[in-house]
Amino acid sequence: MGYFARSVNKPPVTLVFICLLLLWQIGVWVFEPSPLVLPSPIEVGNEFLKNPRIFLFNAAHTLANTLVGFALAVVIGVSLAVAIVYSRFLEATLYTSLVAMNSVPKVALAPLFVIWLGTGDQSKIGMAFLIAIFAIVIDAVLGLRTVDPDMLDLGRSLRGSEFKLLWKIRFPSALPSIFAGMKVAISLALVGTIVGEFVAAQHGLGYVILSAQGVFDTARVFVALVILAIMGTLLFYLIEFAEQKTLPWHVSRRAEQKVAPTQKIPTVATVP
Amino acid sequence: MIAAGLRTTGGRRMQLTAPHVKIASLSKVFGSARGDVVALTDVTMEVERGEFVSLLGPSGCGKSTLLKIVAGLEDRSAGDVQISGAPLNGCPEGLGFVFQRDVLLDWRTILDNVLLPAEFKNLKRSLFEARARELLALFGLRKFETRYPWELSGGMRQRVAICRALLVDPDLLLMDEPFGALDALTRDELNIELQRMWMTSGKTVLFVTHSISEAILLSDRILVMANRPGRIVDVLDIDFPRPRELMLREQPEFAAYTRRIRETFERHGMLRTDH
Repeated sequence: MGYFARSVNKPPVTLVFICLLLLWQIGVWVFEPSPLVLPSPIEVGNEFLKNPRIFLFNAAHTLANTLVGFALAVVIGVSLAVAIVYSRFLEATLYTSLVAMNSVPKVALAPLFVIWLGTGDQSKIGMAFLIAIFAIVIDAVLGLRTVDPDMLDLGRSLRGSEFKLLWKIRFPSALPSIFAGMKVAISLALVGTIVGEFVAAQHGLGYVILSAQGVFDTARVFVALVILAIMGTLLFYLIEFAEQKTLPWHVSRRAEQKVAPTQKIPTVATVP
Repeated sequence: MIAAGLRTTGGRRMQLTAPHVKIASLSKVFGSARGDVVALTDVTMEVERGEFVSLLGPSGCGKSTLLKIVAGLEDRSAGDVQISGAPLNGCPEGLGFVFQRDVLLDWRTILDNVLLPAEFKNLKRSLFEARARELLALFGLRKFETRYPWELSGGMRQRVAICRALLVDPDLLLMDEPFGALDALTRDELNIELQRMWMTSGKTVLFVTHSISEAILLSDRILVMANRPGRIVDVLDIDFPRPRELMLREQPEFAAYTRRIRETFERHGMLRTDH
């Protein structure tokens, strides 16, 4: 199969992106909407190039708060999941209330976080953390619970301590699930940070969007949106990359249907 | 069992007089929503040190449950279990368990899978690496040390599981239908490899299977079990010399053992041929 044919079946992300931009530019040329409604990609690009440092500075702020909130959500979320799996009491209290709270629109809590944590970075980190942690706890509990009971029996028959069972069997076998939660959570953490910045902030892309909206600077809003889109995509792929590095066994197992293992190891038949 | 007695050279600190596994009037009842289910009733048996004993029976006769009770993985409802003369309390020391599924940890290489028992028993890993490699070589897996379980075929994976069970040199090996999921040819190969390992190591093996020919081929003694409720209904000593070869299955004496076991099954309503 040639490169062209392959690209049509599964085109690379960058190509899709370029085509979308092209379509957007052509649309603006043909329909000529007011720049207040929809600026062209070229205008958006120019807006960015006029003052790239301001945009990058604000993007860095948003990124830092997102990552801190996400990291806290991972560490605390996984710890909570372990506690929930080992304690029937916590499962009945904490886990059920977490699941119930998950259906509450957490965005509505953003003003409260500003009251509690101030208008600084803490309230943004708090929002990122709060929105992200649910996905992590729920997926981690699922992963820790669905461990193969024979694996636990194996560990017990070796007289392994409860900690060994957790650290060497339960936790690694839950990692694919935890990574699935992290992939959802990283995008949610970004949402949390932006919502926090919408409510009260002096920097960040959410602040840029809100202040640009105040003066009808649509091009500026779009620059922030594009940066956010790129950031969100990169963060997602960062987690996916980490997953591939951490769980080669799991990622390869997913691909197992495509390449039968015996094909790769021709010596199978010769083993006595 | 003179031969079995001679093989107990590695007897170490245990009481050599007591049977390796002694089970008396054991029963197991599972409570369920629809009432109690009797999985095992009044099981009494002994396994001598160095003996190869099979528990043979149809699905649901409680043979796996019995094995798990001996391993300390399942509670008993009544009766006594002694290992080397000491009452069973939790998972006994010096025990290797081989499951029906290989239960290899997907995230570990083959070598690391085999070394798992050392880590769980807080033994120094480096002291066991040479032995792990030796075991893998013995089962023809030398080249696969750095591979991951998903890269291996079912038979090779089960060989790894056996290596893992042997790592810390347990003197009691409990095997729960270890070859049940394998194709017939691989199963034959592994039967022979298991016999070779057992003959050179002098371990006691308690082997669960539902294959009559596998049980006859491997065992010194077969405990035939019936179901509903699970119990031992016949005991056979298998008197073939060792090492036994696969062709042994074509011998008339082998067929006679098979017939006796089939008749036992039929007598207890487990092998119905009338439909």
